[in-house]
Amino acid sequence: MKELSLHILDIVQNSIEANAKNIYLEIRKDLQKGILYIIIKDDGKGMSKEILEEIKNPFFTSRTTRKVGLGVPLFYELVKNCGGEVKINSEVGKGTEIYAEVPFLCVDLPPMGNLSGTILGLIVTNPDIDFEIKIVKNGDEVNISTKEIKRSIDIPINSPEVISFLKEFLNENLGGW
Amino acid sequence: MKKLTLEDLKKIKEKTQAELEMRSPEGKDKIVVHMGTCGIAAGARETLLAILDEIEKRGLKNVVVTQAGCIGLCEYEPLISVQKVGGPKVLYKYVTPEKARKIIAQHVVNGQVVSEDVLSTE
Ligand SMILES: Nc1ncnc2c1ncn2[C@@H]1O[C@H](COP(=O)(O)OP(=O)(O)OP(=O)(O)O)[C@@H](O)[C@H]1O
Ligand SMILES: [Mg+2]
Repeated sequence: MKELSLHILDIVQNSIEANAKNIYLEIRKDLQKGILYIIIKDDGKGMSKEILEEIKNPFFTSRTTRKVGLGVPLFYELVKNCGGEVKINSEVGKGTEIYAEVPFLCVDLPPMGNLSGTILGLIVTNPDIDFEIKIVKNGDEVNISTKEIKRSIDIPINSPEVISFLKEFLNENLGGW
Repeated sequence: MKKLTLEDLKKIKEKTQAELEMRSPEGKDKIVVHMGTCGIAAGARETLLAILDEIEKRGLKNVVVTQAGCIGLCEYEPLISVQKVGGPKVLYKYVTPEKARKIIAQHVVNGQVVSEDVLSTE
């Protein structure tokens, strides 16, 4: 995939498919250390030890419509090729945490790409999920809590007016990625 | 630290409160964008963003867009399905952003299925 944000979208997608009600996403660029941290936590169905062991293998999937799972292995490959590290903790019935750190100057690391569009898409197509999103770059921090947004408006978070508002907010604040 | 402020949210609230009563009671038209790894790799995010853009520009209050995982039809991705209230569920294949815009204009808004892009109908 050509953008890091597409990988992030894909990994968050797994949390959605695991029926998570709450998803935490943190993307943090540490300029001093030269490291990009990507953390995704969900309260979805979690994984058994067997699945956890298999998950880095590109031929493992628990889905039944198709025999190949690709999302996690692609992400692993990418981070590993740059000398980074991915850790996955998961517990059946509790949820999953994916923690990745990768040197961002790595030539094989694709650019972040359209992060604001990725987040917009996730938020408005999953109105029932509460997203807690934290993006940190150059000491600049952007926080988004969809629970808070939903509490403060009387219309659905996927209404045209809210889409419009969120799009502008995300473009303004995450444009530089 | 940047945060969505209460002020921001109040603004949306004020802007939209008046329109609340006008919303349709008889259900909404549904669009589903398939977002498994192969869908994303084939461009599903751009397709989704084009759909959201049309909804926003046209102010389509009676349409909900959701996403779903892979349905084992990777070779036809990006895939979307469209179901108008009371109508069949139509699965569209190879939906580029341009095709998505056409499907919104022709099918969602005007009720005419874009036959040449249909993979199947339920
Ligand atoms: N957050 C999660 N919660 C629960 N299970 C997960 C999670 N992430 C991954 N898994 C498990 O790991 C498997 C492999 O994930 P992966 O993303 O590699 O492939 P996939 O989602 O099955 O298919 P694809 O991503 O190619 O559409 C999944 O089928 C699922 O069983
Ligand atoms: Mg996946």
